Amino acid sequence: MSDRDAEYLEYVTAHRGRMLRTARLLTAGDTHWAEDLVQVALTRLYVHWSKVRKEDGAARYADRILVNAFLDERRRMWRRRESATEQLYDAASPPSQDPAERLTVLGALAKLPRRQHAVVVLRYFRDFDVQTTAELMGCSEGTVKSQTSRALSTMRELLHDSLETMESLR
Amino acid sequence: MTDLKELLDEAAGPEPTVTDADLSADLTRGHRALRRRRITGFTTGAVATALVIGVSWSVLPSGTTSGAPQPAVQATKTPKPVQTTPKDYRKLHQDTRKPPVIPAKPVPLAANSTPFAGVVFTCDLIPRGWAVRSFAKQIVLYDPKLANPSQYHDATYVLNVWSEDMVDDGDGLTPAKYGEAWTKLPKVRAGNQQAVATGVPGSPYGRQQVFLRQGNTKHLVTITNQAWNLAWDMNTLLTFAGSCHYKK
Repeated sequence: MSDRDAEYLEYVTAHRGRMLRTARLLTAGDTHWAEDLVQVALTRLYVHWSKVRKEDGAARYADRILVNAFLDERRRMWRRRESATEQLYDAASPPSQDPAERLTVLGALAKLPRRQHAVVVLRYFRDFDVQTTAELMGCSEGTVKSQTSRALSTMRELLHDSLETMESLR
Repeated sequence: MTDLKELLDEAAGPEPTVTDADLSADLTRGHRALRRRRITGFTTGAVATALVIGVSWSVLPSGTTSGAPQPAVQATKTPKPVQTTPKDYRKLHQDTRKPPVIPAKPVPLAANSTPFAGVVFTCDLIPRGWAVRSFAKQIVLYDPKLANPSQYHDATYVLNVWSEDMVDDGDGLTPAKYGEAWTKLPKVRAGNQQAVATGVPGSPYGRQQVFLRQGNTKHLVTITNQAWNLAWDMNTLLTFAGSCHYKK
């Protein structure tokens, strides 16, 4: 095994789980799409490994690819991710303390426009600051701030209503 | 927004365990993508080079006929045109013109005191009596006394020099022509420069190429010699190549 392969595998071992969790939020719980995004990001990362390792940092590069792959896919509204099969395969959702709450949050994320969706995940799940988020998404800091503001407002409404409804049913 | 962070953290689910199968599949996909990228890069580079060389020949002057020496009667190895039967109904155009005659003595080198214009490189030597044209960031050297060049096969009477950069796709700086990094390619000396050479050493027939690395940079000066009328062997070509360099 070459040094490049060994270093790459070391990185993937350490970061694949984190990338998959980010991708789950970006895809609003679509586990197959999340896995696709992670595979795309890791494949491109391997191709550019020596460059990104030296210049940009592998983690930053992988995050950028992940977010851009997500934004690109969401932009292609004509593209259908699903294909019909005779047999239905039910992917088990990740175990959670409260499946209903989890689905509510994912549902709210899915209703956000794609850039607001990405901003929420990067800033409040990954804890990136405005500048880093802007770099990853390829936009200005002002855009990140405005998208964050709108996203939070929408999320607040959606989550408040949904969580209140759930509370009343309990 | 601590609440939102907690909600998102919960919604993302637990961190999955990375299995050996995941790692193996990721690595396989990476290998495949890198291989595909190299093949694509090489093909694109080759097509672009062929296009530029082809166009540069087409704009060469047709030469003069008055007082031009008759081609010497000398044994030449003229490649027989290969008959192909295209599957397509369209006929493939094949250049069946002959190359110029190989002179009995190789064209000697002479000092070049005029740096090439419009390009980042120059050569301190050029074939004696040959002229210089620049075209599309390339330098084309040709014999202005060659009688009626259009009678000859396009790819047989010019020497091209251009600059290009090696690319690093992960295995180190690699010339576009090759799939292996510079450090792994067999090298020769051309003057005081490191070079990679292709073509049949010592043979004046066929295409010979020399890639000259400029110090430890990614920059190359590339020389393609297809001029039968130079009658150069590889040593002469390397002597000429050794005089080519980026301008200071």
